Amino acid sequence: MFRNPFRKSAQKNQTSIPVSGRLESDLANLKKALGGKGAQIVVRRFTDKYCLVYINVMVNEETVNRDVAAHLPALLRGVITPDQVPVREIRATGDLKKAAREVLMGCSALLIGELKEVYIYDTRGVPKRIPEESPTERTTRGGRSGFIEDLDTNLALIRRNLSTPQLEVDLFTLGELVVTRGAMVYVNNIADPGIVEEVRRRLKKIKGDNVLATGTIEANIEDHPWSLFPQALNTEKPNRVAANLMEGRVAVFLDGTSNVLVVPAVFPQFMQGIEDYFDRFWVGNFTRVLRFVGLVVAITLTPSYIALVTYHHELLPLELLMAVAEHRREAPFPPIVEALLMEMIIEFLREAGLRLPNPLGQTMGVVGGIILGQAIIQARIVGPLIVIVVSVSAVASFIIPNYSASLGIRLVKYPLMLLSSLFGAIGISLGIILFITHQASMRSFGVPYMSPLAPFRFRDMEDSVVVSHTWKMRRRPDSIPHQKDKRITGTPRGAGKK
Amino acid sequence: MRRALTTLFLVLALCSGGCWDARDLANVAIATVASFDLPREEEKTKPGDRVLVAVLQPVLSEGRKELVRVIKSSGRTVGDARSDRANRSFRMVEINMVRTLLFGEALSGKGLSDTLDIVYRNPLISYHGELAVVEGRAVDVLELKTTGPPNIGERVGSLLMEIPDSNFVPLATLADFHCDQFGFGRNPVVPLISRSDVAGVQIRGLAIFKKDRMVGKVDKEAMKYLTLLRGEQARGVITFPLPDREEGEGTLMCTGHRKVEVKMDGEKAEISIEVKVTGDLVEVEEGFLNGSHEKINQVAEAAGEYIAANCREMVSRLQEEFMVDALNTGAIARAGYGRKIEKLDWDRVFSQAGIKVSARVKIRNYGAIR
Amino acid sequence: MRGSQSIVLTSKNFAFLLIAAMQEVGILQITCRTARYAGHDAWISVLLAAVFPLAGLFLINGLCSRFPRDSLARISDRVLGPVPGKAVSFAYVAYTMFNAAMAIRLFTELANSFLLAKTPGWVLALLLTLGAAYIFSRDIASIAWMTEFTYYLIQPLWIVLLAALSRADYRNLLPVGDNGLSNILLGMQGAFLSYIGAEILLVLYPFIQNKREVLRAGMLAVAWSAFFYTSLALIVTMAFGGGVVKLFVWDNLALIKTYHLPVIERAEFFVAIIYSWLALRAAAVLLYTARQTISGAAGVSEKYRRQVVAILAAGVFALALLPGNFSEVVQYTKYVGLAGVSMMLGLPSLLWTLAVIRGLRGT
Repeated sequence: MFRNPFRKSAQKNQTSIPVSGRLESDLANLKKALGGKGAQIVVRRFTDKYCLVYINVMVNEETVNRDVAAHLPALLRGVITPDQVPVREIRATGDLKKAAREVLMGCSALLIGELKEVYIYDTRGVPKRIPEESPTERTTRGGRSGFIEDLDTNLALIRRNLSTPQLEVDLFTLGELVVTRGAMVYVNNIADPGIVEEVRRRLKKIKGDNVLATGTIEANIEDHPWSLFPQALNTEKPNRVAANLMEGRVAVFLDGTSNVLVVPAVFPQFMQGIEDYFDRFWVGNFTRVLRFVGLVVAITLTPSYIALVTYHHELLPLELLMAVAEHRREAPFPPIVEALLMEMIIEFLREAGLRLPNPLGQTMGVVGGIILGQAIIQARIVGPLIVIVVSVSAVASFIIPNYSASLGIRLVKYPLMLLSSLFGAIGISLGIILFITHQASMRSFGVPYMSPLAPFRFRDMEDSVVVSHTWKMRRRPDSIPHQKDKRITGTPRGAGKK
Repeated sequence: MRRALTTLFLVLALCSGGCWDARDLANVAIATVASFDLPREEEKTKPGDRVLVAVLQPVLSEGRKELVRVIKSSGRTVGDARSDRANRSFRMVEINMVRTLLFGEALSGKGLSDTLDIVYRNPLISYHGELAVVEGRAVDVLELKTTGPPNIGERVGSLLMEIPDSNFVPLATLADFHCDQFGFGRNPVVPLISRSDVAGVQIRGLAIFKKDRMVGKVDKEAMKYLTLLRGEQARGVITFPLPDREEGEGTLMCTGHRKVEVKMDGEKAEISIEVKVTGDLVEVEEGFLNGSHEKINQVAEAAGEYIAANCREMVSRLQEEFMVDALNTGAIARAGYGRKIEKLDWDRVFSQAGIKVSARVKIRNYGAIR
Repeated sequence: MRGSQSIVLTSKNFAFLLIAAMQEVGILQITCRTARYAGHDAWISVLLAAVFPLAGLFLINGLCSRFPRDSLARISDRVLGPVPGKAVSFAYVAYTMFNAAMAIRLFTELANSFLLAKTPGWVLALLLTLGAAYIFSRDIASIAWMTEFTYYLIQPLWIVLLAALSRADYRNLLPVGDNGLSNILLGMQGAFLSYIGAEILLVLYPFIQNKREVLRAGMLAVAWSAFFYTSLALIVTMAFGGGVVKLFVWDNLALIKTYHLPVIERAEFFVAIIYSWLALRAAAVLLYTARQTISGAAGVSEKYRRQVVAILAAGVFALALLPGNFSEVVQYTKYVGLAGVSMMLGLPSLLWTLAVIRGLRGT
């Protein structure tokens, strides 16, 4: 029923079409390679020797007319050569298939009769949005700009953050039928060559008709594709990518998507927010620790409620126990059913809020949460305590900065809820230790996923559960392999004093 | 495919298990206080019944007419009574939350070891639970009708929890009783309570045990000195006569600790107990002090003599009337002399020992006026 | 297996694995077991018993340093010959399985007493066995990291014991040594269950990176455990007195029952719940070494890892159900303690002596 887009498809057509040098023949072959009925293909002839081919909706018309077409007469007269046309980028190729791919991406192809080369001019002008703040990674402090769907703009943004000659950008393409451009970015004197090579190797192995999002890349290159937890950091913030590159990581960009992958990624990284480094020391630490507390609460609060109310009454204070017992008298369902029902409602509200347009989505959240919650209590379907528990658990999962990780964390509580309903607190403790074991056995490009918590690396703790001052972070984290251990930092204390 | 099947099998196996211990709070009666008495004839369900067990359960329903429900059952043993209780309650009675254990005077006089065995063995009952002996029958306290909250169970619990800070009444927990019952040279003391018209229950003094059997009781006044002699962590008020005054009295709010030395000469013991009391002078006859440092010393000395005299009286009662070492000096002797002491009947040794008692009072301050 | 393990453990990892193997549910009974003989001098017995794992570490380190890339299966094959060598390996496996089974069964008894009274013991044992199976099916580095991480989570919980100091009376420890040397020495057997575990070094030695640090790391682990157990014994004895302690079954939990904590109310249940991790970690570490030994002795490749795990888990489950009641569990754990001490001291002594006499060394 569902075709696997990565199944190797038989290539019936030949892999390349060489330029013959005969203009009409080459033009016909180029049009054939472009496919379709040619509705959007523009062919502009300049005498019977030159022919400019492009797709009208993919190019910047101004660039085509001003920078290319306007210079063709000079080209005809021999004043300039084809590689002197003033555009951003010029490439030459002897393969019409390759030329077709470039035209499909928004370039213009210049066919020159008697020449067995086609010149490709970068005239891309696909509409793109302005870099703006990512809706899933809002910050209170620090840069607000976010990546967009255009690869070049994204590379420009990263270069702005990391304007160093050591920044290496390796371009690649993915997809057999639909070719998408991508880039692998790293700092060549910091990133471990082994990691870089491994990333490159895994990217090369990706096969598929099309690769349209970094999620596809992630699923193909990660070590544990079946795990709930991401092993690559998925971000839309240039400053975040820049900070990770400076620690020795590798970033993978893909044209057409604003999400960038950063590998290797470790679990504590998903609990870090960029503003932790910009806020005051105590504030940053408080927020960081709060996130870990939120993680524990998100995973264990609802299962703990089930265990306490079903099995371990003696762990509740007597007064609270009496209050819960009173509410339980009127509740028609056992605690596990109450909890599952409320969790499902929260999930429905959350998903509905995502799909609806912004103003409606917010209203939906408020209306759904308050009115539905109130109604469900008054109808005595569930008790008020479970509503509080589930709401707090949901809110706690929202404070996890990384969206992908928070999705995984949300799901961890369901098996814990099942275990707690069957075996009480023993079920929860068993579930937690299995969860810890699973995490400890995961790797991200060879790096232990729980670093620096397990294996415990004391030096790296300065930027994991807590965050130290940046002027104290003199070395790069041991958890991520890198070449250059020392950072240039260590501002003397009292630098502000004369 | 095989992995999926294995996982499915395991999940199904797991799901088919579990839930044996699930108890919905809706179907559970939470008991907070338990009492143990000798049953009257009409209370016995079988002729051989030797103990009456009652548990107090707060009532939760809205519009409730009564605050608590008392479920009584009798049996040959406490365990037997428990099984009979299950026949009388439409909800499963949960004893994990029992915090207060009350014992009737008559049962205490017979001995509590059989009664307490099931309590010690039950891992679910907290060792932090408070104990008290009730003058008369313990179940009568549970059945006291109170007007409005808190219910009688809460009142008894609060009374016993707060008392270490009020009137030299030691907090007697299950752990303390267990240690004193089975430790060499130790004997438990437990607060003695009775019904009161005003608050429901009141402290009447202390019950003195020889291991598990109650052998005597002392009133509220004597209780202070017994507590000081035992070195218990308790605070209270002592009113004493002022020096050179016929009717003048002062009051100390104080706490005490003791220093005990035990010297053995064969089977004869020489025990010296120094009681050190530290506290604040909260009340004194008007004009007595006048801010004079000398007067304060005199007051402290007078208080010390008064306390020492009362302590000596308490000691003689323990030696002559009760013949039991309620001061736990045997444990100190054991610490000094080792296992060979354990061969002795320490209560007899205590009764015949020469015991010197002295008391020293240190007044920290005398309040906001001179 | 010979030379096929990749070096993946640091000495610190080994220390935490050793602590995990040693500190199992038996520590909840260590004081009452030793006090049965040593009375209020139980803490001395507990402290002295640390000599056994230390001696074991010395002997095993001495043996394994002659065969740095070989684990027990290969060493015993070379030193004793194929048939007796395999017999020794299988004996080790049997002992380890029994040890793990008793760890699981002991926790099952604890859970039945304190937490889930009606749940059949076999269900709890199965649950823990499956959990342990998942853990020991992982690689040793992951198990080591998990034990380290959970160690940091568990140890601070013992701060709750400090609340018991308010009822501690130092006089309960006096006179020191009053119970006599023979009773104190006899009392050591009560601590054996909490000190066995050093024998895992026989299997894990080839995995460890810096072999020179092995002994130091092991000694630190034993020293820390000894300090921990002795402190437990001291606090429990000071709180209750020697005469009362010997009456308890779970002495530490009885101590925690004597006070009330805010929020979590009944700390003993909380501690009992967390102690499921102790049983799981101990069982997992021990069974990993059993898995490695079986693979080495029987020549089973890593490809059949899951099958070996399944067989071991089934065996452990069956063994966990062997004792008919709690007093048999106590008796069997006593045998486990004695067998463990023999395994720690006797086996490496024998192999080392024969290796020296025959001049055998590894590659």
